[in-house]
Amino acid sequence: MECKTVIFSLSDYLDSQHGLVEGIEKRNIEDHLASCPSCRHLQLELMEIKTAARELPLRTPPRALWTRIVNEIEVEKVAVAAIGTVEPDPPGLWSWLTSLRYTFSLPQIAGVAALAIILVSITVINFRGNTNEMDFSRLQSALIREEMTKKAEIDRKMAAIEERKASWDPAFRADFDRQLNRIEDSIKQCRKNLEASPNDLNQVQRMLDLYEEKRQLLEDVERLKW
Amino acid sequence: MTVKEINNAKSDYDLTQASANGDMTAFELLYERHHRRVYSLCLRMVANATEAEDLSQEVFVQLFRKVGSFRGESAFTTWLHRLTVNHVLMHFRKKRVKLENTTEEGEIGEMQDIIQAVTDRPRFIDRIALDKAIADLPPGYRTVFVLHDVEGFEHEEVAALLGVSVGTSKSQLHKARLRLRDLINKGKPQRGS
Repeated sequence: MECKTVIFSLSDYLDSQHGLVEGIEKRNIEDHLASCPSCRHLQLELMEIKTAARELPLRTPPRALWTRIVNEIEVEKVAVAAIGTVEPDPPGLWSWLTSLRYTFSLPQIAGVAALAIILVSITVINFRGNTNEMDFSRLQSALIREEMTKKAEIDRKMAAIEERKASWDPAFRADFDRQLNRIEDSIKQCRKNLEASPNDLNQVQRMLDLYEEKRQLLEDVERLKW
Repeated sequence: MTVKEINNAKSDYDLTQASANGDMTAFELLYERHHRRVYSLCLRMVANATEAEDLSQEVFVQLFRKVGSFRGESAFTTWLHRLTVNHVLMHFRKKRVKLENTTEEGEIGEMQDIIQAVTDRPRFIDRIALDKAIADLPPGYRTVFVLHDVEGFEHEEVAALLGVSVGTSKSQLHKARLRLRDLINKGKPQRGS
């Protein structure tokens, strides 16, 4: 066996505990290594690299990294909370009303103020118990909007992937299916949790994340496979 | 936060569940336990401290978003490890980092150089020198070497992660090891100097 051939197979030989090089080829390489100091030295050097690679020390990032992470998470939380806020009405009638000039007497102003106080009190009493429900319904609408957008994109990608899936490497296909099933199971679980506790904002956020994870997985596969 | 507090804390799985409910103390404990591993993996794959910090930050923010989807079916370290690798590979795809190409002629020339160069084998590879040599590898070789030899992925897993064949993964690993050996030997002080 020539040095060139041995060098070419040396990594496979080093990893041969995984059965990469077996039988006659393995014996030929060993015979060559026993008689060729250069190749034997190379084998030992590569073996040292392989061994040392598994023992490399862990490195420590700067302390500020945690602060950066917390800050980003806080910013995201604020953004998520803002999903449910209602867009302000465009200027129109109100601008027109405020642009007008009015002249009222003191009794007229006092009367209007009293009426306003009564109306506000009634409104507060009637709606105090419903505030959370209103916020939640806004969040639910936001979730449904987001779900519809992501689902449409996911369905498009899935259709394209299904057409090509049969030609993939079986191991890759199995890994893809496993990942997809895991996400879909999580979506089902999340939906159940939401039915049980419809006001759970974490579940709403998790549902959106799962759709995003699914979309991301399909996008990765699209990029990798064709 | 003391080491004792961390050691006395709950399992990773318990911490993930608490984190999923917005408990930042639990998430901080997860960070304390795993941040060095995540950062080291990012650093070895990108060979740039600033990029590694940015990527680690993104991984932990992503972890916070996704932590509720961890079902405890595998070890948390394995799950986080895969999340990190996928995130770094996504970063590479955005940067269009590709596996290295070597022509057959190039390979033969490289092997002849290796046969010529083997003179005095080092008895011990300095880990700092190895870390530095890994950073000096071309990105494609570095990715395969870090995934296989440093992080312990099998060739089948590396191939699936990178979207290449198992043969390509083996070939890239072999070339990476040869290049590392070359880089380490070049960095050593010459005999008699």
